[in-house]
Amino acid sequence: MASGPLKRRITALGAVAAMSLVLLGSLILMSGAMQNSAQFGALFSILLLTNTIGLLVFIVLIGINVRRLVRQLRKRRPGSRLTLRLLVFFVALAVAPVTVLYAFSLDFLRRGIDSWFDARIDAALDDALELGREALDLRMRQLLGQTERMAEELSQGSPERAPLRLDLLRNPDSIVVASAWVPGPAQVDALRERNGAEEMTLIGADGEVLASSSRISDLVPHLPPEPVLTQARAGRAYIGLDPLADGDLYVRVAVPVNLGQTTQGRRVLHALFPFPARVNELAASVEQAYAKYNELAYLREKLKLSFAMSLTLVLLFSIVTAVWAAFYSARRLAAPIRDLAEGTAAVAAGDYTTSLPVASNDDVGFLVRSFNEMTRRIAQARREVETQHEYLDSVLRQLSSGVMTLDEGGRVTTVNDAALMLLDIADTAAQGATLAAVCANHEHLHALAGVVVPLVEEGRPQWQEQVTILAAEGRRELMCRGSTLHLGHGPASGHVIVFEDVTAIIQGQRDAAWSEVARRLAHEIKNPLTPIQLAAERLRLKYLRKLGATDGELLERLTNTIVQQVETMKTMVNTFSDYAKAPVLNRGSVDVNQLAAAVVELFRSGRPDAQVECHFDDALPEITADPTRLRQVLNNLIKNALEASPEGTNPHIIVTTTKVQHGLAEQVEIRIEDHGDGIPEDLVPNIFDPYVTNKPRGTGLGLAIVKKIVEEHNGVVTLRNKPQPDHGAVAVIRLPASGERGAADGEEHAA
Amino acid sequence: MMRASRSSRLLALVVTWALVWASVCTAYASDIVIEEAALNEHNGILVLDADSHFDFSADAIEALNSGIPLYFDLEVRLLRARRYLWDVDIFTTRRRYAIERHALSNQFVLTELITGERRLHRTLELAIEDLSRIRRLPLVEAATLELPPDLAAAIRIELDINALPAPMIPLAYVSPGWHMSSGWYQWPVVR
Repeated sequence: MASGPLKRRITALGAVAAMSLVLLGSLILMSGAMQNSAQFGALFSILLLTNTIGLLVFIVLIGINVRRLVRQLRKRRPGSRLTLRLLVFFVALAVAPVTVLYAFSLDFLRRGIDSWFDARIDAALDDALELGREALDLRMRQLLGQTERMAEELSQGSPERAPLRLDLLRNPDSIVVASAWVPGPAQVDALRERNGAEEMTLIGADGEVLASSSRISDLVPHLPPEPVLTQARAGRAYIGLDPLADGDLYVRVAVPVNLGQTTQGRRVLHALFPFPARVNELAASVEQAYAKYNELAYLREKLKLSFAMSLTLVLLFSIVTAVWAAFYSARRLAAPIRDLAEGTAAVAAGDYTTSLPVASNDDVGFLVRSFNEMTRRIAQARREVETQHEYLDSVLRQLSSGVMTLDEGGRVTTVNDAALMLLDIADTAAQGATLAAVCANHEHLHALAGVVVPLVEEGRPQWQEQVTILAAEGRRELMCRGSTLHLGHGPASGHVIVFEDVTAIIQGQRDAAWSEVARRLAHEIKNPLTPIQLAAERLRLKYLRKLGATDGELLERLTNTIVQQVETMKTMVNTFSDYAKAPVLNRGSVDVNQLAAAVVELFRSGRPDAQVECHFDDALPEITADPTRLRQVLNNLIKNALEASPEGTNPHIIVTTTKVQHGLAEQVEIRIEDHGDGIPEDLVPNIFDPYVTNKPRGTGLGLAIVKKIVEEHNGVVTLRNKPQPDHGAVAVIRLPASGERGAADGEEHAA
Repeated sequence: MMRASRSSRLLALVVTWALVWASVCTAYASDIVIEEAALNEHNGILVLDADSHFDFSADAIEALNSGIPLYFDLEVRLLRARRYLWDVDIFTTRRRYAIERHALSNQFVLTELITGERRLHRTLELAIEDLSRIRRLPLVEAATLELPPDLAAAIRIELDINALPAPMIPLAYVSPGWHMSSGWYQWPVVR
């Protein structure tokens, strides 16, 4: 895995090193080109271009790096400031001495080039040239005189030779054959020899060569240019220096040959005189020195510029290479520190899996290894804590008691499922909120707020209170035990509250008390009823015949009243007796839909005016129950619902059966709704208690018996008013489906 | 988007600068104008006659007066011109001329570098005039070529910047005054 970045790094370094070498090589070559233009002149431009492009590439690379760094700085990426600091340090370290060196070199260069030129040398060379010209002029004037004398001499005799036409020589169409050349007259030869001329030509008026004599082996004489001939023909002698192709200087003289006749006066004597070898050598030396010096003087500024340009290129090359190297080094140095910073930030953010690559074995490498070890240990410790937490969580979940922990600010930090269920609140509503806020947000917890919250706020070390709340499923008696939490030996850092549902216990105690009351009442009342009834019947039997019609009728009516009331009292006492005794349940598999349908049908036939609506769940599971007792429950509730309807209206009740999932358990829910006036709010909390009724003729035991039977079947029953704007009340029974806990008990005694 | 538009604006600026610079160089490069040229045949040899006009920049004149030789290339092409395709070269040749100052004799020397022929002039103007008049410059024996009926000829004269002394080359490249070129002068050859 690490070979990829390493390979890329090596490739990048190799490319930059190769480019640096190429640039360095081209700089060396360019420097050579400066010194030897003949050899490197052609390469100069290419080298300059190569260097410029190379520099541009480097500058682009640096630009990219700068841009990246600026972005990192703006984003406050870890390590970016360190990279900047290192970069500034490296650049300052590299650039400052190079720049100083550059400035001095440039100055030395300028001074060096300027030192080549000196006004005195300049003047001396000018003087040397002038001296040469003067010396040559003197000789030239002598030669002019000499040639004029020769012309004078030639003008004494007339030429007899057939002329060679000059235009033929100049015409490329003509062909001059060497063997056809007629040598000059003896006089011209003699003249040339005598006067030391290199070449002598007598040219006719039409430009034709009349006679020629040459010491040079060239076939064609070195004829003068046309302007020279024109000048000579005009009667003005021409004399000038002529550097011929071999490099030697000659004196070219052209003078008119005056023969005294107008027609022949246009002849021209043209002569080339050599200089002595030494003079030629010296003249060439002066010429070359002067030319070279002049050239250098002309190129002085350009040389300075070129050298400065080369030096600047070297400087720029050094600087960009140094800057790039500084970037590279700064990044390399800052990379592990950046990694460490990012790793630390990740750990701070809770990511303990961060592991940094160990790139080196130096101090930074040691630091990175220590960091990795630290994160490994933190991760391990965190895993252990999490495991412990999960364990505790699991234990808390399994507890039937509700547990809630609060921090020192009263905020809920932990709450188990049992607590949520007991308090009838959602987890989201509890987490992070204060207990007071949770209670304030839930109306049914106002009683809890009134009792528990002050105790928590007071910070009492231990307390215990019983609180009654009205949960969705009915009244709930909660035993709340609280104690302060202490971490180590420090001050209290929170509270833990344990809730226990003691409703069943209290209800059991209450039911047992009621049963006892009922049993005693039945026993005490039932015993005298039979003698009263018998006495009343005997009274009627014995005295009815003895009394007259009026008294007899009165006796009859009174004794009937006594007997009827006694019967009523017996019925009431039997009901009490039924409530009080613990019946034997005959459990069996019961189809609730079927049972409910049978009960509803009974009521439909008994109350044709009533509208009984049924919504039965076809997928309703069977339950294990005593069908007779369950029938009594439905009977009581439907009867209550029908009776709840206002007088003069047709009762309308809805019986619904549904399968509900409660945790992992399946339950059967039976809902019986009416559209009556509902239950008075003050009766709601105790509606299932004996003798709690709003009906003028009720025994007050119907709902108590319903509750008793449902609880005998491990079920729950609630009765509450429907939320506004609906009218009426709804009774909800939940019974465990077959196969659940309650069904496995078989026959058992409730109570 | 801002960044993209900034980059494209920069690119447009660079391209515009390059175009302007190229056009400036081209404009200044017409310092040599070929006024007239003709291709003739004499005794089976094709010869060139051309009249041109040289407009030396002050820099070039200063360089010449300072002893820097200037080299001019004369390129000659005989070709078959085609309307839609590129021309077909039948014959190409190049002649090279040098013009320089001889300090001692205070003359300007014009040298044809292939033949070595040297001509001396008292003034630079005369030397330039000599350079601008090409007379009967033999090119090639006509019989050696298969000359098509639609023969055309083209010539170009330009200053060889690379032949300047090395320190001058970089400046010469960027200075319009040193870009001396006639461009191609082409004409149909009537035979």
